[in-house]
Order: sequence, then C-alpha cells, then structure tokens
Amino acid sequence: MSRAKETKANGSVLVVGAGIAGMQSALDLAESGYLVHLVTDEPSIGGKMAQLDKTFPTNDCAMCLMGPKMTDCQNHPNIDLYTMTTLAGVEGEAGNFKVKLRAQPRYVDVEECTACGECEAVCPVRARDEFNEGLGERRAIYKQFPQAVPNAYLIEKRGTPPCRQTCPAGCNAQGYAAMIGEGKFGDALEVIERRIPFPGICGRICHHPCESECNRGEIDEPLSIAALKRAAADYGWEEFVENHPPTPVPEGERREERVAVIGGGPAGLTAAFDLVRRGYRVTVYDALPAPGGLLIGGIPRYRLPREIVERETQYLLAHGIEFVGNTRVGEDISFEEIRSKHAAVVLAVGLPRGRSLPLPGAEAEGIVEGLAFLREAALGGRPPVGEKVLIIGGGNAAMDAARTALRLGAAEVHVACVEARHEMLAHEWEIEEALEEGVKLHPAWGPQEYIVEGEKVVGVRMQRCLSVFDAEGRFNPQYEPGSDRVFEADMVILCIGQASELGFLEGSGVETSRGLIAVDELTLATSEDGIFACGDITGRGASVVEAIAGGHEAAESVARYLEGRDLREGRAKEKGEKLPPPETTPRHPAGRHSVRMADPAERARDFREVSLGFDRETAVEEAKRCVHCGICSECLQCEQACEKNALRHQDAEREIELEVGSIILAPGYSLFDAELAGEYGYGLYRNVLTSIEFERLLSSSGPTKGEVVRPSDGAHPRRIAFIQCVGSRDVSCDAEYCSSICCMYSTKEAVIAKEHDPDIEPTIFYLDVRSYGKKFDLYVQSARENYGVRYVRSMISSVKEDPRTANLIIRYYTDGELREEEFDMVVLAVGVRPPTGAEDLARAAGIELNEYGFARTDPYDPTRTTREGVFVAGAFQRPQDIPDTVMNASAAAARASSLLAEVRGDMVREKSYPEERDVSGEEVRVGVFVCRCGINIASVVDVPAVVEYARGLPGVVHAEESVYTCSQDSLKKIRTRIQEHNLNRVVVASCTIRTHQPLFREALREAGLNQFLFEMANIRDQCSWVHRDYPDLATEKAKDLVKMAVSKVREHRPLHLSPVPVVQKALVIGGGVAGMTAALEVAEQGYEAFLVDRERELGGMLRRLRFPVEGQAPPELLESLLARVDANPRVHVYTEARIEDFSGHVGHFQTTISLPHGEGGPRKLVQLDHGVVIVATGAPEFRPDGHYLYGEDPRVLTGTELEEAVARGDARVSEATSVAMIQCVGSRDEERNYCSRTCCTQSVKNALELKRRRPDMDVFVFYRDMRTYGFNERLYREAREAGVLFIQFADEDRPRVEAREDGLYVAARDLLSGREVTVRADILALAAGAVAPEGTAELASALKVPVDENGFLLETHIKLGPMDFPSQGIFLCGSGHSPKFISEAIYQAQGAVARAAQFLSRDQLMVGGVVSVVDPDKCAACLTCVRACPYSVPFINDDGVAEIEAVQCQGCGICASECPAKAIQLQHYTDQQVREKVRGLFAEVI
Amino acid sequence: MSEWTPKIVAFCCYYCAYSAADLAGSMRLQYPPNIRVVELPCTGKVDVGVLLAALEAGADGVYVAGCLEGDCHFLKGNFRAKQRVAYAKRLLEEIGLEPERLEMYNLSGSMGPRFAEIAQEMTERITKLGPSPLNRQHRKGEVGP
Repeated sequence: MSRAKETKANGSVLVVGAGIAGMQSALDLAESGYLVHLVTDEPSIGGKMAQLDKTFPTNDCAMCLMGPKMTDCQNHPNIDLYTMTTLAGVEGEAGNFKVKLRAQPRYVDVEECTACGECEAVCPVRARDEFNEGLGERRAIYKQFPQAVPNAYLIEKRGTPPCRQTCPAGCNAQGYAAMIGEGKFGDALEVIERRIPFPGICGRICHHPCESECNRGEIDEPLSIAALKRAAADYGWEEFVENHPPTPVPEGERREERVAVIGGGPAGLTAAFDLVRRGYRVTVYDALPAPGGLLIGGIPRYRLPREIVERETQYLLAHGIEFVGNTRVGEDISFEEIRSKHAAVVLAVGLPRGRSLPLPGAEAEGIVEGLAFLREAALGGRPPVGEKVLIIGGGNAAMDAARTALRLGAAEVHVACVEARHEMLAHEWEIEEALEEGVKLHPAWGPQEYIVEGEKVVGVRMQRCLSVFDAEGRFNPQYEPGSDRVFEADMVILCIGQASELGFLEGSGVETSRGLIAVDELTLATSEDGIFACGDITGRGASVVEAIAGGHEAAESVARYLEGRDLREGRAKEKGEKLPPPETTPRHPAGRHSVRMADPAERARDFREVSLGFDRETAVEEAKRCVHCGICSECLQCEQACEKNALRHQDAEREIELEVGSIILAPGYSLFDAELAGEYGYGLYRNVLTSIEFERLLSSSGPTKGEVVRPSDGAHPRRIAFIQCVGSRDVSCDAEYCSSICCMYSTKEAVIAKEHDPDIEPTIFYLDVRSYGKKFDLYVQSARENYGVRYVRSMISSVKEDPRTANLIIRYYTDGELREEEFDMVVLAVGVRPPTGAEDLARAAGIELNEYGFARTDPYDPTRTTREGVFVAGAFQRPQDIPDTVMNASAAAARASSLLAEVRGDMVREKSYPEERDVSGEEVRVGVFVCRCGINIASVVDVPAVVEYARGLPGVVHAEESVYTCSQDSLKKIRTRIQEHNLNRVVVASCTIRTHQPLFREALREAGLNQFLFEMANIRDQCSWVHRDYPDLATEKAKDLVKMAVSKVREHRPLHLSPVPVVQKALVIGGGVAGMTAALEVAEQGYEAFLVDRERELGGMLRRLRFPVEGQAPPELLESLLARVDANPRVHVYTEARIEDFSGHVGHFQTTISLPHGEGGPRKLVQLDHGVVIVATGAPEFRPDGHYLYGEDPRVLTGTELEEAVARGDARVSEATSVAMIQCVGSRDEERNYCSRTCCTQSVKNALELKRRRPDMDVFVFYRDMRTYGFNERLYREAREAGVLFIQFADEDRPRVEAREDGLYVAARDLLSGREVTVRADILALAAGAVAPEGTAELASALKVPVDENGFLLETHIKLGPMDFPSQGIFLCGSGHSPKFISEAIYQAQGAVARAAQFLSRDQLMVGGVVSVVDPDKCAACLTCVRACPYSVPFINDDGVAEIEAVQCQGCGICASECPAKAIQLQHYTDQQVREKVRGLFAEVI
Repeated sequence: MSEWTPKIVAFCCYYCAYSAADLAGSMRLQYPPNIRVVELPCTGKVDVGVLLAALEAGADGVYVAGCLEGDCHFLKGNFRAKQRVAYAKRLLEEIGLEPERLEMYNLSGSMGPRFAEIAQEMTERITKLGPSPLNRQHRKGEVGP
C-alpha cells in the first residue's frame, strides 16, 4: 500500500482461473469499480463446477446456478476474458504489476464463431472427450461443453504428425487418410494436391518414408499411406477436377514477370505449377516431347501407367503453364536466350545420362546404357533385348531394367551388383517383385572384364565382392582374389548411376561442382542472380517426392526474388521431436491391408500395371487405422463448412503483456489419479469409476444423457458402492489431509443416482462422515432415511472383479470382522489435489506453496499469499466446498480492491449513448430482422418466407433477413434501418435472449432508442435446431414466433432507470472477529463503518479462545484487531448498543440505536444513515446444562472452558492424570440438528496441548465422526501419535458418565472393536456446540431477513450466495451464518465487504426497468403482495396503499400475479403485454 | 381436418425452462414443432388469467415450466405457479374443458432432454384429446367454406 502511493497504482486486477472462484472474484471487482482481466487455461470459463450434475445440499443443478454468472462474466463491460491462456510471469510490485500471459491458439475466431456446429459435423477425427472424463468422444474441432462461455468452438492440435514431418514435400498424410476414412476421396485428393501435384504418380512410385515413421507401426503395422494416396487419385480424381477445375489465373491478375523452367520432370513441373498459380508467366523447356521427365522417360509403365502421368501433368499445364517440348537447351535454344527473355530461371534438368563402366571390352556390341534403354521402353519403344540379359547394378533402375527386359522377351534375366543383398540400394519391395517375376539375383559380385567374342559381348567376368566402401565411406570395392566367375550374357545393361549434361551452362556463370549445380542449401539459389535449381541436378532429389519438395522451394525462392523479399526469412526448418501416438484417439482394430498385385507369371508378359491398388472399401478400412497423431488432421473440411470464415488454422501461441494493480490466483484443483491407488482396481476393472466420471454419467448433458449404465455392458447397475478417502487422509498417497468435499459429494451422487433409478442400492464405505457444513448433516440424514443410502464404517481390504460378470467383490473390515460383498459398480471418491501446474503458476506469480502443494497463505488473512498484492481464491488455498470457495473468492476481491482503493474507478469503461428519442407520440413502427444464422436457421426454416410474412404483420414497416444478425455489419445495419425507417420497435428473430438480447438492446441504445423497445423470437434453439425433419412446420412455427414477438413489442413502452443516491457507509452488526474484520475491511475500501455490538467490549467468542489451530494464538489476534479498530478513523464503534429501529433500502438505510447514558438513565438514541448492512452476530458456545453432569459436578467443563483452564494453569487440569472428552454435546441431536464444525478440531487441539504440557497424561476422546477436515487432519494424526485415545460411539448409543470420588467414569461401546470401554478421568470436557445467539430472531425480524430452523441467519442461496440476503444491501458473515473457524469467519467477513462494495462504491444506484409498479388507485391494501413477496419488499405506505421500492424489487412478478385487484404490474411483462403475445399467436393475419 | 396438429403454449421461466429449451437446441434434440414458448422472468408471474386467456384465444394445450421445486431463482415463484395451475385446472373442469389441457412441469436448466420429453408428452396428450373446442381456426376449418 505504501509503495502504491509513490507511483500511482493501476486500477485493474488480473484473475487467473475462471471457475466459480475466479468468476466470483471477477464479478465482485468489476461491480465495484475495477477492470478485470479474467484468464483461464481452459477453452471455456466455468471450471470444475461446470462438470458437476447437481450440488449438495440443495440438489440444485450446477449449470443452472453457474450459467447466469458465466454470462455475466462474458457480458460485463469491465471483464476481459482470456481463454486458453496461462500466466507466464509477474514483475513489479503490488499496485503496479507487469504480467506476461501466454495464450494458446484456439484456431477458431471467438468473435466470429456462432457455435453452429457445422464444422463439427464434417470433422473426421474423433478424440476422447475430456469434459466427459473420457466416457464419450468428441471431434478434433469441438465446443468444450454445450453451455460453454464463450460459446465458441476450438480445435485440438498436438503438432505435426510423423508422416507429414517425414515427407520431404510435407504432404499431410493424416489429413487425406482422415478424408478417405470418411469415404471422401475427392476431398482426400484436395489435401494431397496442396503439397503433391502428382498424387496418382506418388501413390504408385513414392518410396514413402512416411510409412516407416507411422506411429500405427507401434501398435501393429504402419498405415499403407502410399496406397491410400493412390486410392485417392483412383477414386477421387473426377470429383476433385470437377471441384477444382484447372483454370489459369485470369489475365488481369497475372504478373508481368516471365519465368523459365528448364526440365519438365517432377521438380521442374512443381516449381512451374507453384509459380503459375502465383500469377507468373511460366514456360517449361524439355528435351522430351511431353512433360514428365523421368516419369515418362524412365519409370517403366508397368509401375507407372502413361495415362496417369498424362492426366496429372496435363492438369498442371492447364493452369497456364507453357510447355516447349523437344527442345534441348544448348542445342535448340541457347541458355543466354532463355535468360534474356525471363526474369528468373529454374534449372531442373535432372541427370539424363547413364554412367558407363570403363572395363576392357567396353566397346563391344550388346553393352547398353540402362537409362537409355529404360527411356526408349518407357516412351513406348521396344528396344531389342538378348536371350540372356545381365544387368549390372543394384538400385531401382537395375530392377526396372531387369523387369523391362523380361517383358521385352528376354529368356533369362540376371542382376549382379557389388553390394551384398542387404546393402542393395533398390527398395526391398522392388527387389521382391523382380524376384517374383523370375529375375535372378547375384549380389556381391563385381565386374572385372567384358568377355567379347568377335564384336559381341558374351559375358562378364566377375569377382566376389568383399566390401563396397572403405573406412572413409568412399566407394572402393574389395574383391576376393581367385573368386573369378564368368556370367554368360548376350546383353549387358549398365545401371550404375546417372550423370549430368551441363554443357549449356558454360559461360553462364552458374557454378557447378562434381557435375552438379552448386546451390544454397536453404534457397536453392545458384551463384547467378535470378537463377535457381532443383531436383536431381542439385543432388537433392533422388526420389519423386524429394524432387517435388525442391520444386516448391525453388518456386518460393523465385517468388521472393521477384517480389523483392528476403530469400531466407522464416525458412529455416527445424525438425522437431517425433510426435508419439496420441492416447486420446480411438483405435480402429483392423490390421494393415495389403495391396492387390497382378499374378507374377501373368504380369511379367506385358507392361500392364502390376499393382492393382486398394478397392474403395479396403481403402476406407485402411484409412480408419490412422491414429490421428496430430489430433486435428488439418484436412480443412471445417474451413469449407464454416459460413462465417471463423477458422484460423495458422494461429500460433501469443504473448500478452498487461499492467495490473493486483493479482488473484484461482486455478482451482485437480483430482487424485485413482490409478495410483492400485488396490481399488481403477483402470483395470471396467466398472470401477471415479466420482467425477460418475458425475458425468448422472448429468443430463453427459455421455449417456443422465442414464446410469455400466461401462462394461451398458447394463443398469443395481448395487453401487462408493468408496471414500481414495487419495485423501492417506500418507501413502502423499495426501495426509482430508479433501473436505468427498463425503458430501458421494452422498449427493448416491441420492441423485437413486433419483434417476429407484432400483439402485447405494452403499457408502467410509471412515468418518464429514458433513460439517451448513445443512450438510440434514442432507446425510435424508440420504439415509428417505433414499435408503447405506453407510458402512469400514476399512476396505480389496476390490476384485469377477471376470465373468464384471461385478466387483469388495472385502472390508467392520465391526471387528472381515466381510465380503458383491457390487455391480464401484465409485471411488477421489481426493482433491493441488491444481495441475501449481508449481509453474507459483513460480510465475512468485508465491510460495505449502507442504501439500497448495498456496501458502496467512491463517488470519486467508487469501493473502507470500507476495504482497497477490491473493488466492478457492481451492488453491485448501480443499473446500463451493460456499467456502465463493466466500474466499469474494474475500480475495475485497483484499485486492482495498489495496487499490485509491484508484477505484480509474480503469472502468463508461460508454456514452446518443440522446434517447421520445417515441411516446409516435404510431408503432416495427422493424423485423430475421436471421439465417449461416445455414443454421436457413437450412430448415424458409427465411425469405418468414420475412415476407413479417412484412404483413400489423405495425411492421420494415422486414429483412441477414446471414448473421449478430455480426458487426448487421448490427450497424439495424442502426441504419432504425434511422431510415424511423423505427420505434425492433424484433430480431434469431437465437436465444440469454446470450444475444444484450447485444441487440445495445444496438438500439446506440441508435437512440430505448433498449426495452425490443423483442426477440428464438427461431434457432427453439425451432430450426429441434425440428430439422419438419421444415414446413418449422417455418410455420418461426412465423408464429415472429408474430408473437411483434404482438408483444407493439405494447412495449420505454423504461427508464432512475438514480438513487447512496450513503457510502456501512453498518456492521456484531463486534467479534467477523464484525471487526468487516468494519476494518470497509474502512480499507475507503468508506466509513459503524461497528455496533451489544456487549461492553468488542471481541465476541474470540475473547475465549487461547490456542491456535495454526498460526498466531487467538489472544494476539484479538489484541491486534482491537488496536486496528481503535486506530482507524473510519471505524466508529458503538458498544452496549441496541438496535431500536431499522428502515430504508439499499443505498440508504436508517438505523436507530440506543446507547447507555449515565447510570440507570434513559438510553441515548443515535440515528445512523448507511448504504449497506453487514450482519456479523456470531455464535456463542452452547451451555450444556443437564448434559453429562455439567453444572452439577465441577470436574465437568465445556471444551472452551477447558481451553481457558489449561491456558491459565488451573490446578484441576494441570494436576489431572486423565482427561476425557465427549464430542457432539448439544450438536447433531434432535434439538440442534446440525454440526458445530469446530468442536472436533478444538478437542484435538486441546488434547495435543494437554499432551504437550504433560505427556504422561491419559487423554480420551469419545466421538461420533472425527471431523478434522482439510489440513486439520494433521492435528488428528499428531494427536493419535501422541497417544490420545479416540473411541467412536454410535449415534444412538451415547457414552454414560458416572461421578465417583476418585474421578468421573466414562463408559461407551467402541464401534470399531465392538467392545465396551470404561475410562476414569479427572476432568471431563464436553465439546459443546455453537448456538445462534439470543436475539437473532428479533434482529432478523427488524432487518426482514430470514433465519433457519436452528436460529442461524439464512442466506439467499447456500451454494452461491453465502454472504447475501434476499434483501438487497444486507449481507452476512461469521458464525451467525453457521459455526466456523476464525480463518473462515475472517474470509467470510472480507467477502461480505466485497459484496457490499458493489453498492458502497457507487454514489448512486440506477434502479427501475423490469420491476413491479403499484397503481395506488386500484390498491385495496389487502396485504396480499406484502405476504407474497419472497423478498418482503412491498409495504403499506403512509397513504394506506402498497408501495414497492424499485431499488429493492427483484422483478419476479409474483406480487403482480397474486394481486387480486390487478393493481400491480411487472413492467415489460404487464398483463397486457403477455396476453398480447399469446393472443397474437392466434390472431389471423390477412 | 385430418392434418390438425395441436398448438401448445408453454410459459417458461427464464432461468430454468428457457435455458433447458436452449440446451435442447444446442444438443439438437428433436421434438414436435407444436410448442410456442412465452418467456417470463419467473413462473410466479403466471396468473390464472393468462392461462385461461391462452386457452380462450385458441391454444389446444398450455403448460407452465418452471425450476425444480426448491430451486426457484426467486425462491418460491414456482410454488405459486403450481398452486395457480392447480386452481385453473379446477376451473377448466367446472366449465367442462378437459383439465389435462393444462399442466405444470418442473425442470432444471441443464435438463435439455427433459424439455424435449415434455414437449413430446404434451403434444401426444393434446393430440389424443383433439382440438380444443375454443380453437376457432380449427372450427372454421371444420365448417368449411
């Protein structure tokens, strides 16, 4: 704070985590004058609570509770949402932090996405649905859950799959496999064509390095990727060409520059194709008559049919490439001439010459060069062959020559090479196919001499080759002397390598090296400006796919060169780590399919294609084997499906820097990995689920739509066991602490399961039932009594599956014996763990963690971390339930806000609007805008017909349709139409008011119309989406809905909000720890507080506590609080005060208090004016008179009395040798049917203190359930280790106490052993619960706030409103709400101030709008409304008629409907308006 | 008029039933296109008058859909609605109109499937009952030109 004053602080707050805690903090702050940056690493806000079905103890639907908060967060002008974003670092100090965020790409533009789901429908990839805990599947493009906020899709991408990474040309094999898997061959071809312009060619002759890297190989065998490519070309060509006809770039868009490509092989054609598509004028020169290079003049036709090459090369040329054939550069045209005519040249001339073997006899007839031989044959000629042909060489060309010779009629074909069989360069499959056809192979033989007779060759003398390469790796074959053998042959074909013909470059300046063109590795630039090279001639292009890769690179360089861009920038490619197979995509069970081949004996006779490829069905099956390593296959089907162009596949991670004044960390928690507790068989037995999985099964939007079924067989389970404390209270699982929530959530799950299916018999195996929260015990009782949930206190020994039935047999220890029982399903109550990435977050935020991995916080300032200005909210503090989370989330907001109090309001956004048009005198002029929602509405509903229909409705002067009415341009159009047509009412027929009404109302305001002159018709969610099969009826319905909306809007009247001034002061009732904290917090926020207590001294229950649960001793806390209160000029203390009168409303309450005034004199009255009230009345300890001799025997004390006695060194205690304690005295009984929450820990704490002071003392604790929840579990363990004996008694079998001379004898039956236990004690301490203080009912009645059946104050909502009352402006905190610990009272008090600050921080409140209004002339003052209002708002005023303060009205309309005289109307929903809407439906339209 | 299909008005509270209808939409659950939703802040706003007015105007069926009991956003508005629906049903009986044409339902905002189910149930029920005698459009159809 002090530092913040030196430089002006920043009035915005960063909230990390957007579960219920983060949202609560964000909303509290945004409502009280701060700009909030709300960050979540998830795609939607909502956190864990969004996954829950119902919530305890009210069985409320979790999403219903949260939905409005989620929408509020999204729509709040002072909350900026950042999804999929993490905190990367924090610099600076409290008041002025600089934070760095890292945003992961969504690949979908959140602003543009309308969540129509068209993308999802076409996405071919299925993946595990994490939101449903893997119980269902989703697509690679998905929405996290149906109610996600922002309501937008995202894509999961893991990285580049190995197939694509390995492909030299970067072809997206996963993408086209995905398309083929869907039977979309044409689309598959489109994916291939992006990188491979020769799909049918590559599908046949590519050496497919992708297949060796394919991750499917780790499961069984790699995918047949190459064969799939061929299948795409075989079955998708026509469709592809139809969808992508080869059209040249239109003349107007073409560039002037001309580029020459020399060489029409795959490299040259790829370069030419890329360039021509970029608009360049490209000419390809080639020596052959047709394009294709080696494809037509090298590869034999039985491997690559000529028509395939022609089809694919012609398709490329048809894009506008000029092909000049039969032209040998250097002979038919000079290189200089080409250079002079073109702005750039690509040399892709290949290696057209075969190498010769200069051995004796090399000039003889019958020795031919392999490349020339193959070229002639491939071009369709029939070169003569001998009877017995010997091929020299072991590469692919040798195999080609051998098989070609066979087909040309050779009787015998032999292949000899220096390499050993395993060293041969030819691909294995080429060798195998040759062998199948009858070629004889002679590996490791090297030629020494041709044997010549006359002029003709008759054989070759060979020697055994011992090694091919020398130690340096140079070609240097070593032969075995004397191993000579003559291979007879009348024809020898040399296939020993290729050479270049670069004579035409002489004098050009293009440097060569060892017969190749020297190029830059990255850019393929030659030594001459504007000349590039690719393919074989660069030494990098030995295969077609490498040639293609070079072609792409050369084209890129040419384009950059001609466009004057940097040739190198961003091109260096780093080959990342190989992506392992994903665990989250389902695996198709089939094994690899092999490609059909023609019969070897048949096929060797002619040049027909030998490989027959896949048939369609096999191709689809094979494609489905893909495991989708990248998850998203980048097939881009979604891009085509999205009418809004919302896809952003190129998105990358972004860094965001923000300046904020304060930070709240609310990352939530993670759940224990149940596989680590092996004894329960999770992950092994199919019907063992975790509690969160079970929660999803229960959810009506879950994978089974709320049907409880067994994963093993889909059957309905009858006997369900819930096992508690899995990964909690277990040092072996590294979690000593209690997770605090599992007892309750298991009870809830058991109850809800029973509601879903009454046949279910739930059993809960537990150690202690820890239902310590408000109304929790009642809930457990109801589960037992009304739902028949069975609770078994036990230790689980094992869970085993019966493999036949998949049932589970549980062995457990209870009541002194081992039992066995069979269940249909087991649900593990998995414990709470620190949030995933807690350590990274702590490091980034610069805070410390505690020994359990949660944030280290101050017990008496529970949201404060070890770094000033950084606070923590929710379960990151410790495991806790939702009400506690909400409380401390608000507390964190209060702390962050008081730190920045002086800059409150600095950063908030105020918007100004044009002056509102007065439409009162105007006739009704309605404008109707009907949305097509892309095709979401328009594909079912006949939108033009609805528009036409709307035009004819009474009052409508304008109607039109738009593609997306919510888009910015459409909103602008609405504003324009309002002006043009002088509209004074607007109807939008599109989607739901829940998400879109604020947007359209805003448009009205911006156009100067009152925002209430608006109505929506939901023709998407309520019509097109749900009546897909009935387009005619859906259109009729859409018309009806529009008619109804028009009927109602005609009756709409402008509603105005009016200001009510706020007295920016708070009244705090109760001066205990909660009240003092609240008053101080109000003061720190910058406002005044009246702290009122009826006692003589402040302090309340805190005065009586001596020993801490953790941290500082309570007396020290008391002292510091009193000193701070005393020193704070903004806190005004009134002790011995009584509230005499209370009136007013939020913003301005008037409270009259009376104070003592002299001895016995009349009390002095003081009137306090304040804007809010915080009730902090506390709860004193119960006086257990009549229980266990209390009040009769001086040796019987209460727990607190014991604490006091120990602290003051009372001899009765310090000299005692034995102390007994009995729990639940005055708690959890018929009279006070609730748990007092703190007494277990207090007894344990006292027991430990006694043991510390006197280790030989015997200490006995008689208990029912030891409720040391959260981190307090440690004290319980320490007490047991210190020798404190814990004896559990049954609820119905309470201990008996007998007073004797020598002590008090306590007897009880111990539950676990089943034996009777009697102990003697010098002192008996009764853990007397907390009770609501006297006078609560009177106070509640004066404030008009409710109390519960136990006399505690009753909040608006147990789950999400734990500090709010139904009456606006009145808040509660402390034990008056329900019993609680000091730290809990503190954060609830701070939280209550945050809630109050939304009013305190404004100088005026804007009230009105949808509120009830009384017509005094009609009112008969019958009091019906006074009784009906759930908020006690209506009252009979001085005029004797009912009055409803707009500032207090919640707008439900209950009073309006109850009023017998119809004197009350709910504005915007008046009887007239609602009836018109209904009548409108049936009105006839002419 | 064999093509007759009922027209049913559903008064839905904003917090639960309307949300459930939205959810049914985003889950693409298909249900009969007979339901016309009138959204209200709370079913506590539904009075007997508007229920009868809907039937009088020609609705073949009417139902009120509010939050689950105990979950009302406005604490107890749905209980009020329940009472009024029960009362209005008695009135219908008295005037000789089938009380089954009117119903009260409770569901939470996450019960999209239940919303669709209710629409189905109500459509089937009213289809069985046939057109409301107060359905003038239908009567006109019967009389013919």
